[in-house]
Amino acid sequence: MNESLSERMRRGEQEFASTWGDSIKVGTTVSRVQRRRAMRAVTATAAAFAIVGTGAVGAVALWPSGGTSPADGVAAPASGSPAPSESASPAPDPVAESYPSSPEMVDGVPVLVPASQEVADNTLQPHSGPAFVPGERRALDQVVSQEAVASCADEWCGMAALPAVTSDVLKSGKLTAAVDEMGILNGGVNPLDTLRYVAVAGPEVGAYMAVDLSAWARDAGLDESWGVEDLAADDGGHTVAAVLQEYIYHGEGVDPSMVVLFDLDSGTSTVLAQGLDFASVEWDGTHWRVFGYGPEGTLGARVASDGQSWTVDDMQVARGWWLKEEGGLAQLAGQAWANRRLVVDGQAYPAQPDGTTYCDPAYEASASDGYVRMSCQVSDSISFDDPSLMHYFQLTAGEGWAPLDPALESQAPPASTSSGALGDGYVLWRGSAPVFLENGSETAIEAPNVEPLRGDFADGGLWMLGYNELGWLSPDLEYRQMMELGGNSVMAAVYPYGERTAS
Amino acid sequence: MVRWQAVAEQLVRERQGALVAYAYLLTRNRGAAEDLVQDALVRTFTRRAQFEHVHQAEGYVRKAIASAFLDGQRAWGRRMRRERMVAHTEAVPSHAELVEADADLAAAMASLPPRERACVALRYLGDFSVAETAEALGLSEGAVKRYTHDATRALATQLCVAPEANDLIQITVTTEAQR
Repeated sequence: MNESLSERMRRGEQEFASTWGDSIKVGTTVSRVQRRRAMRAVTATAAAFAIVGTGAVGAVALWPSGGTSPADGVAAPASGSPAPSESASPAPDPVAESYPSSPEMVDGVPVLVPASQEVADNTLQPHSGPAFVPGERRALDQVVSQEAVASCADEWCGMAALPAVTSDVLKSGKLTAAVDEMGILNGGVNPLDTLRYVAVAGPEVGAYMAVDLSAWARDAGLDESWGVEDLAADDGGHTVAAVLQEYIYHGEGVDPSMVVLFDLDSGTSTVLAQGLDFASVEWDGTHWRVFGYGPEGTLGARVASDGQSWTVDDMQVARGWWLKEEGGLAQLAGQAWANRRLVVDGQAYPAQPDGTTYCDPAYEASASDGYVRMSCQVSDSISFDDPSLMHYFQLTAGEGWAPLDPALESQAPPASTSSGALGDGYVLWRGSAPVFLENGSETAIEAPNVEPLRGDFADGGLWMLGYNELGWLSPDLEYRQMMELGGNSVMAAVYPYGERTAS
Repeated sequence: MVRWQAVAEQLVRERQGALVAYAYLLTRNRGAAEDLVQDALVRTFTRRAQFEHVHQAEGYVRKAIASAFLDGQRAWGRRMRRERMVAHTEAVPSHAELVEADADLAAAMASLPPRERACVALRYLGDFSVAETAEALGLSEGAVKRYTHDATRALATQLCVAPEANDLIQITVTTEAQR
């Protein structure tokens, strides 16, 4: 034992190092840093043009030349980064900044940062993006019968054949949330094969459209590795809001997100925001709800349909709104693992209950109860196999954290890593078998290898997702397959046209 | 060329292998290690910190790698749940991963819990003090001492080397008779 541990470790590191000396491209790294820094410069510069207030904000577009241009009627550059280059708009380097930057702290506790009008004004900088070629609107029946084959022919196997029952679901407008979530899953975890199409479908108009965004992204200056992270469509399926995110290297790390409105009728695009660490979008029937986090802070905005004006989104919780908003909430909370920030009701909360190291609010949500139930891990180690580590907390809007009501705790899944709220009970997995737990009694569920996605406030059912299918569990525990999924499932925004227009 | 760029280029040119190796000992996955390094480099130099020397910058990058590694571990559970739901391409191990340059060390590191791994990497490969390690990982100094102590003992046993005395916690057992 002449060699010390530190010497032994250094020797090992050196052996690996000599093996992998050329693993990183210098130019790639430096160019990424340049674009990041340029992005920061855009945000800082653009703030000077924004009219801070509660009303509309003057739209200012910033082009690679570093100049400014009114957003309306100005074509975007055909290629290159939408952010000004550093050489054209040099970013000063006057102050050394500590690393890592500290999150907002109150009494040593990281706090949740409420959204503000100022952040919205500084972050949302709508300007015209590159044009794209809209797809042909086609009859849904054609999609069902032909699209799977046609898509697979050009390596787009994502939109699997829609079974007949799906058409019924489309007509009732229930598929939006589940499919959105499915898209997030794919975009988030399979970055090597990311989603680059957006699609809308609506049975009442017999319309279906898919848009390949590859060319658009190239013109917008995105790197090769990027994907659609989130998606929403307006009522008519005329416009799609998408969050595009670049991925670093093998896809693990992420570069800034951008939020873009794609007008499927005209083929024009509007870039709403860039440089966000994270963003999500929703359509509430009249406005886009844009949530995110970026260099300016927490973004929560209710944006006009044309993207040119907005107000801060106070994220008031109302019946049903939790789930409407839950996608964004869950994602922001997911980001909170790293950044320890969470946006809830516009208030500042400790990001995590005391003593916990990790919370996942995506497990369950119950609109009927008006709270989001979170499972939090009270441990220093990460283990999903130890049920004793899982605790449940109740998060009530405006009130902060509290242990879950004991009566509800008794119903909460004690050890399942996958569960979903359904009515007054829960669906959870005992081993590989899903069961419904309510008031201490269990009911076996006949369902295939699927896991719950979220409760559906519209009909009280539970969307479920499996390896190759999307399903729905009715309140009376009847499982129905809704969509068969291909290997690389497409993200689709299925707008609730039928529900909103049917008489 | 602005100064940050010169330092960044020099760092990547001269120390990339060491940084990837360092990250590999945390992740034991070549792709993940490269991701960590890339992300840490971008984060470090995006933040406009002024570095006089490449060694100074390397310290920040190593700290960022360890921190990002732990953050990634926190997110891992959720990602795994998601990945189970969707089809994805299995990563194919590279030749370098199949024939590790120092398989014993890699295996020994992989046997440690993530926090112990991060602590011992910063302490012994990054030359961080206990206080600096605690600050980098968001842990208390006591926790860092404990993690490092446990990691040191485990590694020393597995690698048949002498443990670092400074990182062993002295535990004195007083018997009833001694009292």
